[in-house]
Amino acid sequence: MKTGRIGCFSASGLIAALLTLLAISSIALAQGGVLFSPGPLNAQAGAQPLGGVYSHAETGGRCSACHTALWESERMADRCLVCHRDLITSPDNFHSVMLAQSATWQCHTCHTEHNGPEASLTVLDMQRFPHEATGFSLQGHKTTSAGVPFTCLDCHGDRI
Amino acid sequence: MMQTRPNRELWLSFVAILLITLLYLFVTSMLNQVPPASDFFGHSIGIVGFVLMIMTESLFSFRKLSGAARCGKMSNCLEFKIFTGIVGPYLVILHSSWKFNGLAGIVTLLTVIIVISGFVGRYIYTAVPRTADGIEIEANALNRQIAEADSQAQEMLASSPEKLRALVNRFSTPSVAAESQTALIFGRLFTDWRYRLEWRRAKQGLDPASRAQIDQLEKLIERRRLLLRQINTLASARRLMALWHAVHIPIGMALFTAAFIHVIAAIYYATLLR
Repeated sequence: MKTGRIGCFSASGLIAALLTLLAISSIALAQGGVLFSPGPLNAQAGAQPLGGVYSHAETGGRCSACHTALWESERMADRCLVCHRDLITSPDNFHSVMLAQSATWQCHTCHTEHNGPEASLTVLDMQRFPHEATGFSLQGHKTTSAGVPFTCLDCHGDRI
Repeated sequence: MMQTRPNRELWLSFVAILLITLLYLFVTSMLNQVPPASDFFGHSIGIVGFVLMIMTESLFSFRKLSGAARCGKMSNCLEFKIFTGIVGPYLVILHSSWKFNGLAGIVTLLTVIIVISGFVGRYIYTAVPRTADGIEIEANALNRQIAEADSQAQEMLASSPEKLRALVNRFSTPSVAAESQTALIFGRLFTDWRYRLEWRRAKQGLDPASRAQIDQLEKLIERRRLLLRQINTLASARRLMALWHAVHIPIGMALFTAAFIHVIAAIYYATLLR
């Protein structure tokens, strides 16, 4: 029997969709954006509190500590600098140079979150990292004396 | 009346899943980690998988609604629906990068449930007799087909000994009295297998001439048994199909609602970086 509508748009289908929408909205209202979290935050404590917390995990389910609402002019990168202002106190500071270098380079390009309490907050993609921005070009340092490509550890040891 | 290429869509799905798995393993080995849901590959398989899942739901319904023959045969459309309904969810599950947190985890769980439900639905769907174009066959048409099969068998067995006629009669009639209609529908794979086994044994006990004669009747016997089973279980199969729809559709709608919200959240947090 033809009903003139797609099968899934039956009364029970529409009620199920509405109930799901209500359930997700209720959880979002009660617990913030925790439902949308892709994983736990980093729990490694810093030496001093920043923004009232020692680690990102201490912010709990307060997503707005890092994430901004649609109607706000701030972006996620701006929220990072609310707490981590010390990183850009001087224009010569490494992070100041990095941020000035390219609009496409954002905090999250190197510092990723939601990968678990013990996961590193820094993930560098050395193929894309603009080393020139640090004031030291790698143009003449493509390969070691053994003829193999340089890795970060060859120059920096375990300091990065 | 029945499918001429049985389970073609399942085989194609199996091949597609195999190829996707190989690609996934290759990317995993290149990245030295499970592809994250948020990187290019992870995102791509999620998007393609979700589009295939939407096609699963929408295309078949549009075809049924329009009834337009130019859109292809209904059976082909159903095969395509099953293909996208298997491959799409598989891509979505790979997209999860084996993390099942929050809403994304709920969407993955609902995806698994809907696929299992889909398999159950297909099994019930194939219990309802249909034409090649997917139109349900009514009881009187089935009775006509049974009468045709009977007359053909009688013709072929006219000069055969009584023992052979009894054997044909036994194997061309399903044992419906002992089992409920629902058990007949869900247990038909097992019942068919048992019939085939007994049929082979019974044939071995015949003399070569009778065996040659009965070989010609094999398809006819099988067809008559199938038709009789279909007519005996027609009412139950239709009831089960309606019950399945009543369960499957709400789960599907809950899944798509949750998935759309997940997509909006992913765009908001990961793409727009809010």
